[in-house]
Amino acid sequence: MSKAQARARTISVPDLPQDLFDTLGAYIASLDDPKGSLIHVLHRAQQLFGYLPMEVQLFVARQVGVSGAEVFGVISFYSYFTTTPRGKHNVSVCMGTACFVRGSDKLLDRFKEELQVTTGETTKDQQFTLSDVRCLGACGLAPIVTVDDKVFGHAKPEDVEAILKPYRAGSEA
Amino acid sequence: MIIQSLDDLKAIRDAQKVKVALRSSGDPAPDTIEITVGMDTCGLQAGARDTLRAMMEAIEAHDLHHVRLVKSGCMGHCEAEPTVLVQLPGQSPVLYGHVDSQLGRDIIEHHILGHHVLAEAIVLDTSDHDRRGR
Amino acid sequence: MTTMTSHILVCGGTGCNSLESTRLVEQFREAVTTLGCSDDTDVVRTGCFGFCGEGPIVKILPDNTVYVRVKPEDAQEIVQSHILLGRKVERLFYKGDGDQALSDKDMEFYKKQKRIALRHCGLIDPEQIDEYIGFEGYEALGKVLTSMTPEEVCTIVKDSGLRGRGGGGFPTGLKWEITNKIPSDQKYIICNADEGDPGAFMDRSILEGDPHCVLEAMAIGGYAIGASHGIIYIRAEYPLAIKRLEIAIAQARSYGLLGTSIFGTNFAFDIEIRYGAGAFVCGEETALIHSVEGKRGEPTKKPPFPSEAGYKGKPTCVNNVETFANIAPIILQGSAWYSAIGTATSKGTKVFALASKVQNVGLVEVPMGTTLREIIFDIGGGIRHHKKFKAVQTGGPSGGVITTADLDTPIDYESLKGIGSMMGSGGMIVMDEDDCMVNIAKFYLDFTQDESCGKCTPCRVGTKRMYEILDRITKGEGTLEDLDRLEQLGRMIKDTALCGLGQTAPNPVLSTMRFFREEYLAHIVDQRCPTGSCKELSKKTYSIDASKCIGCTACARACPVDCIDGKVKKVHVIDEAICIGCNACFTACRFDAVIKP
Repeated sequence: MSKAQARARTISVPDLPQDLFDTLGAYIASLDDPKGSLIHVLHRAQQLFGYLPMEVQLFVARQVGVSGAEVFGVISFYSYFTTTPRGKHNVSVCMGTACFVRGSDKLLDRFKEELQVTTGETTKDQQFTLSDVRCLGACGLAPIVTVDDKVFGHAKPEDVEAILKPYRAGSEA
Repeated sequence: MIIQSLDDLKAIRDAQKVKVALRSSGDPAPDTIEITVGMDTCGLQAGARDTLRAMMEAIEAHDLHHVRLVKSGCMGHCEAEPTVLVQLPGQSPVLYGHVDSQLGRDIIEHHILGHHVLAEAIVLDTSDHDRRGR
Repeated sequence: MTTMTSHILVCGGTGCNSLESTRLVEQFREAVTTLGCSDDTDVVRTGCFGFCGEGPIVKILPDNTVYVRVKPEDAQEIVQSHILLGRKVERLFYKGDGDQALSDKDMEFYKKQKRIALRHCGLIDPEQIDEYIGFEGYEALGKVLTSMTPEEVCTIVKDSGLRGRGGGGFPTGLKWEITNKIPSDQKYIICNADEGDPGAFMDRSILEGDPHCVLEAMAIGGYAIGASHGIIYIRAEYPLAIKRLEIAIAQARSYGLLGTSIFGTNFAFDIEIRYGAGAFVCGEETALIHSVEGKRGEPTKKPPFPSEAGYKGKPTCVNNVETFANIAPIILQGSAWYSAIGTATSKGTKVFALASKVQNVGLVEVPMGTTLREIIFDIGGGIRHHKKFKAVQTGGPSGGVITTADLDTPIDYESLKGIGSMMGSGGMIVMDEDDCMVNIAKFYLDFTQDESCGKCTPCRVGTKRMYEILDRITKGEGTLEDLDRLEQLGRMIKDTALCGLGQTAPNPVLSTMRFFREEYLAHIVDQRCPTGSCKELSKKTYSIDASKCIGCTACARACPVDCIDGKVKKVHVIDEAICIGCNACFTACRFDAVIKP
């Protein structure tokens, strides 16, 4: 991507609230060693914006004093960071070994089918983002699905519809 | 508060010792004395909670680490509630009846500490009435 | 002072927490208040009891009664019946041991355990520093600062025989001694809490259940190596552990146990928390240090070792959470006490996370030298649903499978290596006859190729190629040459990869090929997955044995696509055109009537 294209893309990003940038800027200014705390800054940024679009990445780069490439390098390295907007509800299927052995792959397939997306994608109506996650450490309840903060243990493929139902109902209301 | 020395630390630790004693009860030591307080409906009605509390306080006041206070259901002597069963290691259990707070404290002071059985309050002494049971 | 005659301990670990244990605590508090015994009954939210498969767990003291699967609505009954009347609520007892277990002392799950690292988990309220101090907390730090030299601390840890619990097994005391001897104006001690092995959760449980024991041990380590600055590198996916650590750090600071002139001496030490962001490779020391510096977590060549040039180029010592959890008891009870536990080369205890097909899922801590049979069958209660044990995977994505033949091997760092696996962080994935070994190997390779940081070619490209070959085999497109290729590639990656991740990545494949070669052959030659796990190979070939089917409808109810037809007490039939080969009917059938392909 050329610089001009990159700039064009930066501009075309839908408006992000200025006050969030201010909050983030103030946070960065409060750090003793912003460069060494880049990961913390990105955690904060993702918490504020919900994801890390290029505008935010470049803002962080300027404030922290590193190149945009370096910031992007860190973001793309860690699975926790995302550069695409998330749906209203996050559906995460645990893919830790304990869950896998108890059939979480089949569970994930069922979710993909039901939501018509693949992992990492958001549904067209912006309601659900489906992801597979690393071990959540609640192996006693394997296999596990979380929708936002709620945990569904011992989940089976046939439970998928019932799990999603309340969240769907909420979106219609 | 700032902890300046090991003694400061030990002061906090000592303040926690009752909690610790209860939590780390684990396997009772061979010399553990077990005191069982009947806490069923009739016992409670007759004031078993106060008895229990009084005995707990007495145990604490005398710093007795080898005494374990256990709550149990009905011991079958409903006419004599609240009832308290004292079991010294190697001896037959003794059952006291009508144990109010004062008698509870007396049991700790005389029976446990002084090894002197409070004969007048005994409902059932299994060493005498071996097979009487109920 | 209020006298508490009963304590209600409620597990507040992540597992139980997700089963509404927070609401359970509230219900207990409400019940003791409304029933008028709040002044002598303490409701405590503790760390993990380890018995996660049966959560939420509630323990009543002083009589040590354990209740399992307790729901918020059970709180009222427990208080009413157990606390007030002394009548135990039998329906909430654990029933797995055959007869009902009354207290934890009677439960097979706890009988063979020896808890050192987990000593306070499920016993104290992790958000109360006073409770930690009540159980001899910070006494080891006080002893070290007021009566020992840093060298003496290194020696006692060295003599104890404690080795790194994160997987490597490097002697902890030696690591401290090396870092101690390198002169520098500033040194760092880092706690590795980036628990990445999928299926291991002991570090999280320790941090959630006993955060102060880690802080205390870090301060002791800081004193031993000459560091005044400690860093805890923790996964952002562990919000509860982070919260408890933050509370613990603030409390320790307010008592002056972190800060300057600790215990009135001139020793200064403080701790900060740094978040990881989800990268398995960051378990490797050098990669972790780069991540702490805010960079991509890529490993670098050793030497220089972190003990010479680590964080910000200064001497740095990295230890894992469970390792730290052993430090205070060693200081207080002596190296001889600790080294008396365990085997010739591996001292002390190890925490294992038992998971998947085992009856009692949870955390167990046993002396080194305990056999796998004792862990899986005595403590773990054997395999669920009376299935047959097939294998256990230790060491996570870096380890290998262990079969029935080696179940009686006493476990330590060396013996596990000897049978083609490794200790790793202590995850134990138990597998039964329904698990396909090729599929498991593929699962691990999928994980490592995804987590490979991409810095060195053997790991980046090699693991990807291995994954592709495995994927082919599970789809029935593999050839016999593929097996040779897998072996050759695996050896090459082991020999040439830069860091531990790559060097151990082929292990799951090599070990399953060694012990279950016939399964690989079945996939390739017979075009058949013996367990029916590999969908492409098992599709549309399930059937029902008419002579065994009694028409109980269990299979039809289990079927997610409604392809099983049949009336009650009549033989059922599978519609092969709709069947997706999910194996649900096979699992549901209690009469062996469903025939696997």
